[in-house]
Amino acid sequence: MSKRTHNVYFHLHTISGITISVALFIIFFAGSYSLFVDAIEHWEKGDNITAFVENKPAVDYNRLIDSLESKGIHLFGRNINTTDKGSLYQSVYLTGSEDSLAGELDQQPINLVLNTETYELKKVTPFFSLGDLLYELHFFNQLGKPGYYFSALVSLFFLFAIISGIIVHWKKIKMNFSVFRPKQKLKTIWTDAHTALGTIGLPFQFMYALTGAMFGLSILVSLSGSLMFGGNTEKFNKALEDDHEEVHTHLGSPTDVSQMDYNAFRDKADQHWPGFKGMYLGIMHYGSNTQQFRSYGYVSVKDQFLNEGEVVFDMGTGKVLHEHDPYDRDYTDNIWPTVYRLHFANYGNIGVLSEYLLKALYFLMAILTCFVIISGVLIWLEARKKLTISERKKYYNKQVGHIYLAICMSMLPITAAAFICSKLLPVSVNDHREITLNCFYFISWLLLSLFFWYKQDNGITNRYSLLSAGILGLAIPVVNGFISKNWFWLTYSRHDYGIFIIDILWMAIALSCLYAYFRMTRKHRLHISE
Amino acid sequence: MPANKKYLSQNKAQRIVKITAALIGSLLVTVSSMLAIAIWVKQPGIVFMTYNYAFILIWCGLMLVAFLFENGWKCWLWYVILTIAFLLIFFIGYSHLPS
Repeated sequence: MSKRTHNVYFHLHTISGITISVALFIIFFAGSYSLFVDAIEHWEKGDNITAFVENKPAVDYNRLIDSLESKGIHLFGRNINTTDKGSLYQSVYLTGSEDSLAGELDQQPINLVLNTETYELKKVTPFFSLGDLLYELHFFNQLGKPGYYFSALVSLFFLFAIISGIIVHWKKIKMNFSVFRPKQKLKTIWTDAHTALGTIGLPFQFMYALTGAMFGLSILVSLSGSLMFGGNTEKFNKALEDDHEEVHTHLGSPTDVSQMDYNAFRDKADQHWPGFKGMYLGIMHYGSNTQQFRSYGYVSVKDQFLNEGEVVFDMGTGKVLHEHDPYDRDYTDNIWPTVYRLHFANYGNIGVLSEYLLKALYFLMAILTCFVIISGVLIWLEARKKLTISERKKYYNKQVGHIYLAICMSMLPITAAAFICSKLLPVSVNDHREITLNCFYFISWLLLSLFFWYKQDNGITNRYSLLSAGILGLAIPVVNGFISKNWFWLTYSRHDYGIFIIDILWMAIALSCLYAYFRMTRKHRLHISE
Repeated sequence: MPANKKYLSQNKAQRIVKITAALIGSLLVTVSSMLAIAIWVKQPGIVFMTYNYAFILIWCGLMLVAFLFENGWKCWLWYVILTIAFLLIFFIGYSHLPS
């Protein structure tokens, strides 16, 4: 590689990196918590709604329909969608009736929760979880669609920074991998950490840069692709679904379904392929002569990594209307499932504990990426300290460094505080949870960032954030224990891993923060006494 | 050790030309290449699905290539020629399309 190429890519890496750094940090930090979005909601509610029950019998559809009817719900013409994921509570979603003669009330969809032991049904009350807040922050959804596309562009430039970084680092990639010089000047610490951790995290970061950009930018493919059909997006979508044509049927006339055995159809679907288990089931056009049974599920992830399958039966004739064989998947079927699996760390039914272990690994890698981002900013700062650049430029650089670090580091204690806040909010303000949590999170984040900026000392920013995150983080399992009585040893022995993982995660974060804090202050004190 | 300035373009106009070529020029090449392939294959769906990820990789790759040019205008020229070539292939295919 010529000297010019090296320097050009070095500059591109620096500029693209520093431009996206804060946004990228927020995306990775919020994203690392969003991996646990379900667990966070579970933890906040404090109920065992998603607790996994071993060897739980499958949902009994005949009983479910009886209890729906006993609630006085008119089922004719509705689609009854249920989940069957092996936990005590399953969701039941009824679409509005397609019958044009149905009353206004019957045309409304209904969202219910089913207790699979008692077959009691409860209405779902909307609940805004802190997990939702962090998940939305992960792609700046608080800013609406522009925020969403902005995050996709950040992801694209992240990919740009990764590739240019690797080009720059290529020659020394082996040699510098094990170089770590913590005793030398500050800049070598940041440089060594940045390059070594950046190289270790490269596959992970590349995957996230690509998949993240795909979510937001695939719209460019459909927009430009539809040009081939004279701008007709409908025809374009049809070209994508070429061989997945489904039989769309209309609601038929009412028939007597009181003798229908719905469980038989579920069993028939489960036996359709060896090892197949339906998880999202639906009875379409209930009560009519075009009634269908739809089962969407998975075969064992040990047989197939991409393991979705779907089968639809006509219930009158028992014929297969549509099927999607999990063992015979073509290339186009596999692209988006691969993206979703990798991006959300959702590798299918690998068991509850292994799933959380996998997510913990992802979390660790995401935090490592956060560190790579911050250390990149710090290299940028340090490298510009000793040069013969004007005082004004130096002041500007220094302020950029202070602001960047203040925004990034304050996110840690604020997130910890928001977990406590979400637990302390009483049930009576459930209707205002969204606004309360948003105000708390963003206002306190702004105030703390301003405070750290005002202090003009990156050391203080780091130490105070770590200390406060450590204390608040340790308080999280305690607050959870006092308020919901979900002490972590109890949730562990109850196999309630969803709640358990959040407590353990915060304890691990808090302890590492405190460890780092004491290491830092010791050095700091030694430094002063010298 | 920031990058050595001697190797970077100092001219502001050159910089703008290069950056626009990297962002917009490479986007045009990427889009037109997709259309040029998709119009000639039996199952364009496969091409579109592939471009869901290839789009990003090609766009990003061409962005990096754009900065290798010493003269930004030359880069624009190449990208425009490529775009026109791909669009020609596309339009020939489009006019042969059974309506």
